[in-house]
Amino acid sequence: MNLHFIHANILYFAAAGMIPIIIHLLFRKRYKTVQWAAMKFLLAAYKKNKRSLLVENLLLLLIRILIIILLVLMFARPTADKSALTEIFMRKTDHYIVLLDNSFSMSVRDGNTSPLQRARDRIRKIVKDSKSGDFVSLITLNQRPKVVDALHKVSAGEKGIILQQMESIEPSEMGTDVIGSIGLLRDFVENPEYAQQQKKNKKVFILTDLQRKPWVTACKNHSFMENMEKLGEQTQLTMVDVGITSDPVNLTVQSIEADGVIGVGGLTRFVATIRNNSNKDAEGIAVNFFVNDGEDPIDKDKKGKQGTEYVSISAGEQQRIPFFYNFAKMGSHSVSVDLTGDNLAADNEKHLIVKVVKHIRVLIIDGDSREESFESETDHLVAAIGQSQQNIIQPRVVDIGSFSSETKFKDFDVVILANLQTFDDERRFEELQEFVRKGGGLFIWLGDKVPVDYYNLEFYRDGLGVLPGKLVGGPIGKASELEDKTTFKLDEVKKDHKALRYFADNKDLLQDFRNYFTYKFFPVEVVDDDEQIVTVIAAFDHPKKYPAFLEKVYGDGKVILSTTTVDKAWNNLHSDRFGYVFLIMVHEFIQYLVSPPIDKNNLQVGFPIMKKFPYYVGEDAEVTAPEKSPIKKGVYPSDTGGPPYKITYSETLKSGIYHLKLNIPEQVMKEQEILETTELFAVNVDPEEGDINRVSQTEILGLLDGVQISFKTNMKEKSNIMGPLSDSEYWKPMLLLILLLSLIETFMAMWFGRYDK
Amino acid sequence: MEDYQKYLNPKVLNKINNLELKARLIVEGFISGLHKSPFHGFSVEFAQHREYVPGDDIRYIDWKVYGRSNRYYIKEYEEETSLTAYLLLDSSASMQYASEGNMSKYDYACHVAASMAYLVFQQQDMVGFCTFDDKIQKILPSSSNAAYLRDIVQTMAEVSPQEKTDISEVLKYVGERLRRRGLVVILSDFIDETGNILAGLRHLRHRKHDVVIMHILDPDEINFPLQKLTQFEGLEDVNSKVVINPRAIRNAYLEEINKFISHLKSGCVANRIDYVQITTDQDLGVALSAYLANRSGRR
Repeated sequence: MNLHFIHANILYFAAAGMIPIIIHLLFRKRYKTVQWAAMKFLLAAYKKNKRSLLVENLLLLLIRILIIILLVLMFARPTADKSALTEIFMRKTDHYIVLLDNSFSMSVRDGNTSPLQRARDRIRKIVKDSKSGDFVSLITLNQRPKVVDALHKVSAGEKGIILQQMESIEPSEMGTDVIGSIGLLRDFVENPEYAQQQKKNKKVFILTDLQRKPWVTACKNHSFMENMEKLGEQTQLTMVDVGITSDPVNLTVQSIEADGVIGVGGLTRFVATIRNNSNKDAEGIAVNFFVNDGEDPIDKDKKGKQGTEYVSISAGEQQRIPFFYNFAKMGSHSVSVDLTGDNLAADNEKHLIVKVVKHIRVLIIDGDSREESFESETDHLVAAIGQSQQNIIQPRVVDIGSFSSETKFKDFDVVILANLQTFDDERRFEELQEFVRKGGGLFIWLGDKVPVDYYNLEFYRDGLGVLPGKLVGGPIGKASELEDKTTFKLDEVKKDHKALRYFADNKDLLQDFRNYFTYKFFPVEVVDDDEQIVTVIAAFDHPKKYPAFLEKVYGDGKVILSTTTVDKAWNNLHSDRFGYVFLIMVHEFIQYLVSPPIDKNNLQVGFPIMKKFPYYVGEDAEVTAPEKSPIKKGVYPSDTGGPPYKITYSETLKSGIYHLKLNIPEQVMKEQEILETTELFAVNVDPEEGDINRVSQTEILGLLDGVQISFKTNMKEKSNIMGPLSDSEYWKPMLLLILLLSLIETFMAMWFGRYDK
Repeated sequence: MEDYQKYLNPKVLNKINNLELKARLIVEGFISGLHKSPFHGFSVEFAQHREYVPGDDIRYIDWKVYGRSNRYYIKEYEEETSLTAYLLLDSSASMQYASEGNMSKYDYACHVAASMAYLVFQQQDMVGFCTFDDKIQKILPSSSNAAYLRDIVQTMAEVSPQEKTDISEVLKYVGERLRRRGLVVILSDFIDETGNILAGLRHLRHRKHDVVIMHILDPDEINFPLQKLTQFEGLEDVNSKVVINPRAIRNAYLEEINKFISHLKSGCVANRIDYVQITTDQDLGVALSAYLANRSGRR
């Protein structure tokens, strides 16, 4: 029964119910004394009627107290579901199922409260309203929805325990997965394990802040709508909006990006993107930068602080704030950004684990070497690479004629094939494939020496090889000085590809990237695949949209294929006009190739730390979560009992830096040339969750058209707490009850002889 | 002088002066007066003849009339007897009670007793008087001297009601002491056990006394009109106290006292005792004349 009061403050006057008791106590001491002759009869009458007098007095007292309390309740204007009174007399057992949104947007502060706090208040009320024999279940709504308390039977003494369990639910740092959570809710409601509850009234309460993005997205999802419709049919579905209606300020550290590969000793530029996710301008916000903050994870005194920037960001806008750092040591480092002064703390921090290297070693295999300057296939390439800052990228050019087994792929980070015809030893293909699978980068440029069939056979291997696409014929276009050159420009450029990040930020550069001429290229066909391991980075304005650059993720490594030449033979990339485009492109692509395809060290809250080792790293590792003590974690071999050795840590429920310390035997360290035994992992909240814009009641009900659902707003908003229009006021029947009780009181007082004559 | 006059209200006395106090029982008398006896005695005076009915004592058949008429007639005589009235006045503590605007039960009883004594003296009859509580307090032997009234009233004034009542014992004692049969008038509130009271009264009746009980009550005692929360303290037992809402207990109390009165009244009727209930707010003259007229009518 959902009983509410429109003027709840009046309920304090219910204390006036004590007035009859106070009057009784006061007047008990105020009597006159009479010396009485016929005491015998008086005492006899008193003795005989003592008990009934007491009962009569108590009865009258209770009625008078009840009249006052009912009067106060009546003025407080009680409201309840229409069925409430029916429930009192014809009660069925209820099964309350609470779906509690505890994504981190529920922690946004509004004075002393938050949506989560309000949701807890609502849960407390639900538990309070539940009767003995009812059931209560709790499911959390977030990125990893979970049935917290499957089925708790309510009994008189149990309510406290249930509340304790409900109260213990902490605000998570996870984002919102409305679709997944509603799916879980439906599974739970339909779970045959709870079939005994089929006959009971299932009352589902969805307590949420109605964050716009996840809810609107979910409502466009077919399976979500189907689940909601089913839930509406099977249960009494209520959505309770516990979100705050004031306009809180929320700034989110959206991202931290490093400019390319970070080398030792060079000044590295980082860019932090701060977004103002609210409808108010934010001014003078302090943004702090840290490097290697909390190397000792228990130490939280922010020793690694590098600087502070004060920024003002308009509502709905974002700002990119650069900062610089010079790393003196190779290896993994953490970079963090935080800010203060808004209403939601969870998204005010961002961490990034970066790998600092001494050099990027690049092996360039030249398939068309010449004696003359800038006539060789790779001369322009080497010149471009030589422009790298601090000479981080260190190329080694090998003529295919002199390429021998002494040169090992594994000694390099990136291998570039330039107009390669073939390897003289077929084992090289296998070695190259293995090199990429283990994380190496491969950059293939084509040219007039490339045999189509051979490439398809050795590199493409029906899609199983390293080549991102199949060469579907000889080169298209004319590049000879003797004939009219054909020109192709880049038509479709995938700007959001990580390899083109630098281009995306620079309009002129992007424009020039689109406009350089290609005269000749190999037509390449890409097979559509669901796993999306092949990506077309850019395609020509050819009618068939043949790709210019393609990427394939192969094992732990990546391959980029350019369908034209790296030298000036088939394009004008080395002209004065477009030379800088080539230079930037080569650097960006190389840096992209050395970055792992999946950044396993930078994770989102709730995603497990998973690490595979191709060699034995000991049986036990130690994981230290932020502000926690280290815990042991087993390292397990594969099913065959050998490598790869795997370790998985799933409790990444809090953002921060996680430390994985391996217990690698010394011999293995020597053999594998391992310098570091501790690996860092950055776990961050989903910045999208920081967008606290809400969807309105009208809008969500419109989106949920066809779903049987009632809607309630926050319980503290008294005028709205009545919820759906089906709620009724009960002051009139209460007034009748008061009149009836007054009549009964008068009648009884007369009967008992309590009225003055 | 003033003391004794305070119980002789001229208005009251005037109202009752013309009435005769007639005892229902014929008592032996030494002086002739206005009281006539239907029984034969020493100084008999023929009254009338009446036809013999079986059961009459044949000694009283007038044989002379039989000789003349051949019918049996009985001779009837009138005899004037003297009356001794014994006035027993309750002086227990409970008689002190007086509601607002009314005299105390004791004072009222004294007025009644003095008036009756005066009346009896006016008829040349004898009056005996005593006050009692749980025992006889003061006792004045019977006398027909009208000046004796002064002593009676003086005694009334001297007594201060204090003790508990034990009517049964007092009546037994009085019954033993009274040698002449007479009219015993008991003026009391009779706050005692009904069984004890009736036992005492039966004892007097056994001694052939004509008994009249004047049940003196305060109007509050039979109406119980009190309203506000009250602590009641017993007049005869100071330790008995109770704080009570009179309105709440009124019905139960009235039930108790009415039951007592009814019990007492029915006991009196059964023992051929006159029961007269007088409340202290009643006009004394009216109350007495009403009773005496009623009693006279019964003769």
